[in-house]
Amino acid sequence: MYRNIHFKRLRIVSGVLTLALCLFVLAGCGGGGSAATTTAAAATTAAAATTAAEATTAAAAAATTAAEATTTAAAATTTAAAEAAPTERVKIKWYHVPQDDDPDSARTEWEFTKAKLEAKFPDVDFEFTRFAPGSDYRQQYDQLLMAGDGPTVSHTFPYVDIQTRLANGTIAEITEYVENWDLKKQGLVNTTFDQAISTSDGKWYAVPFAPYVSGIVYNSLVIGEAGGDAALIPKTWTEFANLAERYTDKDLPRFGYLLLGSEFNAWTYTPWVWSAGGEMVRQNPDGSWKVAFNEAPGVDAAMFMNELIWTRNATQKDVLESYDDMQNHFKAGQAAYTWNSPAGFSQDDLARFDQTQDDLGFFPLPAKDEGGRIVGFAGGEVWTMHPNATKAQKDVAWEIINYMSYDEEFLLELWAKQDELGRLSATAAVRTDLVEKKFSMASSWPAHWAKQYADAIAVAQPEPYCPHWNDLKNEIVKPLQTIYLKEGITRDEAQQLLDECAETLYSKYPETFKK
Amino acid sequence: MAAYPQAQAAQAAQKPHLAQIPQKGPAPNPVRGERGARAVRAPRSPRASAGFKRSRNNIIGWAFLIPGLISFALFKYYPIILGVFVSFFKVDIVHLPGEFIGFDNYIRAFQDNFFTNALRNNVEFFLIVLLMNFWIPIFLATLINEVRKGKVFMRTMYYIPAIAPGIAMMVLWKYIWQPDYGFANFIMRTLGLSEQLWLNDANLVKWCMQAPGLLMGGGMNMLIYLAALQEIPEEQHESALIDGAGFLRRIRSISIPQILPIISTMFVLAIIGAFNMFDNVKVMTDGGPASATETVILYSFKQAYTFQDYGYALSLSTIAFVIIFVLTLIQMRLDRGGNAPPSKRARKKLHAHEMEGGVRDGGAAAG
Repeated sequence: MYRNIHFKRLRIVSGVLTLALCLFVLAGCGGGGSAATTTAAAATTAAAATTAAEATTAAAAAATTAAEATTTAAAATTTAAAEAAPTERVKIKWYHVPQDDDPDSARTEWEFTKAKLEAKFPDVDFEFTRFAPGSDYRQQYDQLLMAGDGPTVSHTFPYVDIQTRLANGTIAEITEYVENWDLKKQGLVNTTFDQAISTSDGKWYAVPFAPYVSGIVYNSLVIGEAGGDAALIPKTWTEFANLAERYTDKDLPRFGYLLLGSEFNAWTYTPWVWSAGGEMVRQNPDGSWKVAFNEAPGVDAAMFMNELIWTRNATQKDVLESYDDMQNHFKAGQAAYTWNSPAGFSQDDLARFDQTQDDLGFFPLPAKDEGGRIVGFAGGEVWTMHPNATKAQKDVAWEIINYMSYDEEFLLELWAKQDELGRLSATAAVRTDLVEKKFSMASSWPAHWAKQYADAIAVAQPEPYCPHWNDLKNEIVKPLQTIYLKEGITRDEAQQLLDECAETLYSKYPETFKK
Repeated sequence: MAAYPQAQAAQAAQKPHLAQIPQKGPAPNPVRGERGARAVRAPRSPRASAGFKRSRNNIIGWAFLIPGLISFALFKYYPIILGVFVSFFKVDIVHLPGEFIGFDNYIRAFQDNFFTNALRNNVEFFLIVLLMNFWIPIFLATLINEVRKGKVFMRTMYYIPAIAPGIAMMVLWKYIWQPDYGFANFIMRTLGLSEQLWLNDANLVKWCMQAPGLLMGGGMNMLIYLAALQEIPEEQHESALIDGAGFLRRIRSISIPQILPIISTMFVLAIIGAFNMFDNVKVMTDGGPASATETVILYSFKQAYTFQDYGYALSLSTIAFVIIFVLTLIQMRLDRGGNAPPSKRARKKLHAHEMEGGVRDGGAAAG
């Protein structure tokens, strides 16, 4: 009898537990109204896409979320509009909050900026958040869009992304603001990126945020330890290879030059092609683009990297090393030269490796001995807006862009604060009349940086910006790795690999690349 | 043989009818009936009662299964189906799902050299797993099963590496294989051998990547095989020993056949694992060098998140899913073939053989 009752109780308890579990599962699925939760779920799913089914799941989940998102976004817009009507408050979502592992100075700077923004725009409802740490910002941006979310205004993308993004509709057109922009009419806006951020029919999609110049960053301490003199700046490929070879001691380990061979290898290969006197792409008269990296200078550049690895033993053989790992090796004093920009080395960051900015210097890429040219590599991020931003949101976003990057009073305060925190970035001001002013305020920089930076800017060439530029960079990874890693590869073999890659691009993107 | 049906019939005759068997539990209350006041209706027949109990047990069983089923349906099958659906579109991130393009993504996949390269990489990874990782745990489990003393110690020693976090182990091995200052080349130098590029060598990279897999997954697999081996009755081995069977003969004729269903399951899992390779490739090589380790799932991932070509990425995932599904079905069918009861024809043949043997034995006995 007792056993029966006991069993009956157990069954009731188990039934209740089962019901609770069902409700929990259902609540977990149906609950989560917030877009952030949905996005996080989509992102988590995507990150966990380790199986075929799950990989399918990831994109599908994202797609589902997106399908819902349209409704949610529409509903949200309606609700927002209804709520905004009486008070005229606009909601702006901002994704540039520092990550947890960012230095304290980054947080202090952010608190300063945030306070300024809130004071300047009291009628705006800001939602301050950030991209999930450790994953690609492009992926996250797209996932957020699919989930009906994403930054209302952002300075996430490099300018070279704009042609691709305007083609797939993931950023808003902002022509009306740019065309009526007094600062631009006065010629006070940096024009380096203009062709890349607009279209031939006069439409605009972005405005400059932070132009920078990359080249070779050196560590004078490491060079000194290797018995060299940091003041000796190589002007030609041969001089560079000789010095890099001399500074290398793999037993320590210490490398003369850290070669980026992984998935971003086209990024560093590009200026080496320029320094050999070539181009990566050339625009045809009809507006399409000719692939040019398979011309002689492109082959020269690839063969020079192969020489640095195999003949000179001046760099690492690991083409799989990520860019971040490479930079950490440099900061840890394991290399004399690396590809970067002074903007990539804040005092806080270097302090974690017992290094200081004083030990670092900068020079543009040396020229190929015959027919080459000394070059710097100009890059930079631009401001964009959410493709589904309302007119009211765009108006406010435009005001924010102007305030954050073009308002002299704010900029002077911001730079003073950054300088005080030792994090005034080595990027040019986008207000052309304030470039000198910014550099003159840089008391926290080493004295030699301003001159070296100015020298590099003088020879800087902007990164190509044609549509499918990122696809080109991804496509070239494989042939470059093959060339870099094959000891004794002949020039003809390298030429063939680059030719094949060019042919692939012509066949895959015929509307962009034409011979 | 002839007496057997008679004996059965006699036994059946002696068996009391089910209704005559006294029911367990307290005696029924003559006034209120078996179930008190509620039992005023006619008592259920024993058969109906058994059916009721069975259906009630079924309900409880289903109740336990429902949360799992809901979870699977929502988080596995629904997204898979949706993924297949979206694979027929050229996805537009802002206006989902985009333009319907039918089978274009699938046609493109089979014309895409990178995809066929990725597929070939998956097959090669599977073959390397078979050669390097699959049989070693079986071998180890068989050896440990034979050990009389220190079995627990050996088991623990082999299992401990499986406890280490997988990603941490992969990063560690990435440094071991580093061609300039890695431990592997240190060993090579010490032994006076030529240094290798390891993960940077397109010919070696797949083998190098599977080495940590052997340590990380091998211990767990070995435990599974060991558990199966320990289920085999000791008497079988003892009888074989008495009959003079050696170690290899016992392994071949007793151990392996008895753990064959486990081996078969593990084989299916190995196929699935090889075609789903993603995390270790992403961490150790990201598909390099020169796409030598780019698997279908990694390629699909890159198509989605580097090229923003979600429809194409989903078509690749769907193809991978179908391949795994078909291979698993084939394997399961083969497995079922091995373990299935003999066919009618085989049973008839066996019966005839027994009869023949019986007559011969009987004849011999009579003689």
